[in-house]
Amino acid sequence: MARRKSPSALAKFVADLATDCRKWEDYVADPDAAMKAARLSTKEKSILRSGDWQKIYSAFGWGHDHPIVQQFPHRSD
Amino acid sequence: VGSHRSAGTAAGPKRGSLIVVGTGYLVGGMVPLLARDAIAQAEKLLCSVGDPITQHWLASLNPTAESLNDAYAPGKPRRETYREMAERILAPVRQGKRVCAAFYGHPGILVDPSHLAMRQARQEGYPARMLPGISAEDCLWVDLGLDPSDHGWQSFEATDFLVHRRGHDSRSHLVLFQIGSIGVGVYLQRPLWSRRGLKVLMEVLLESYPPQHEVVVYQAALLPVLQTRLDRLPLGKLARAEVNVASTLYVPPLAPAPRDAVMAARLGIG
Repeated sequence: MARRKSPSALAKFVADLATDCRKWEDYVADPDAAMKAARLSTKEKSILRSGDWQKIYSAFGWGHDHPIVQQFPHRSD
Repeated sequence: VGSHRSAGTAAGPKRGSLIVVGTGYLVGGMVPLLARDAIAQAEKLLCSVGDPITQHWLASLNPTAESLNDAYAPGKPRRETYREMAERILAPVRQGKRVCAAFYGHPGILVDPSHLAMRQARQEGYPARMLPGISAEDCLWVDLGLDPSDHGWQSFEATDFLVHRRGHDSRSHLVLFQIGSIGVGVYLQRPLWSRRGLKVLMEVLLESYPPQHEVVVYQAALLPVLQTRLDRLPLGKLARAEVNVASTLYVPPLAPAPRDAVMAARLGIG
């Protein structure tokens, strides 16, 4: 059974992709290997593979206590 | 206004300050070093970002991070939300804290609460500074593979473009922001806030472009595991396009502007 990870592990993995070129290149070349190396759970891998922002956001509780939208406009005419 | 200042220590009065930064897109990947330092060193971090991973990343840099997104509520006027956000940013400044406010994208472009907070802080005598960030438009040019200085470009907030009948040059690039919320002043909890506004925008653009003119509905990826959206379609189909509140419209130039030979000669480049 895969070890349960907190969403912080998922968050760290995605944040690393955004801030570490090498990790990004490894992920693009082989997403499964990169996720395995980060020891993400089967569920977390499935969420990321989906490419579905709503699933990703839901993993962090957005959509429950947070309004689930893709962006919050900061300007009104 | 001195009456707002209440914080002080035995060593003397402690002066609050404000720095406003942008988190760009792609979690922390587009945060300048100085902004990252401001985020990490703030005694209070307030933020409004569009995804939970950026929120998590901010909290990992600064445990005082507090989201302002709960100021939005379905049906609530956004102007009210923005005033509330600005007040929440200013409250710890008035308590003498070094405050950082972080917004996704560029903190000074299409962001009312950042400007409200900056103006108010300065009016009350607090040091306030804004650092530039990476905007949606910056991402758009990269993702389209275009240099906007070829033909020049104009960009507008979509409702502003329509209501003020902004003139534009159809021989230049045109960028319209917030095409999913045209004419809507409240917050709504659905992807597209006004199909009607989108239809009006299409009709107005059709006064300048033919219906078959290809346009792009664009949305920058917020996370590195998400795809940037670049939906190419004829302008005449815009009213039925898949658009949401985060969508931006790019309209390419119709044709190159003719060269003014007299002007070129006058400049000595004829």
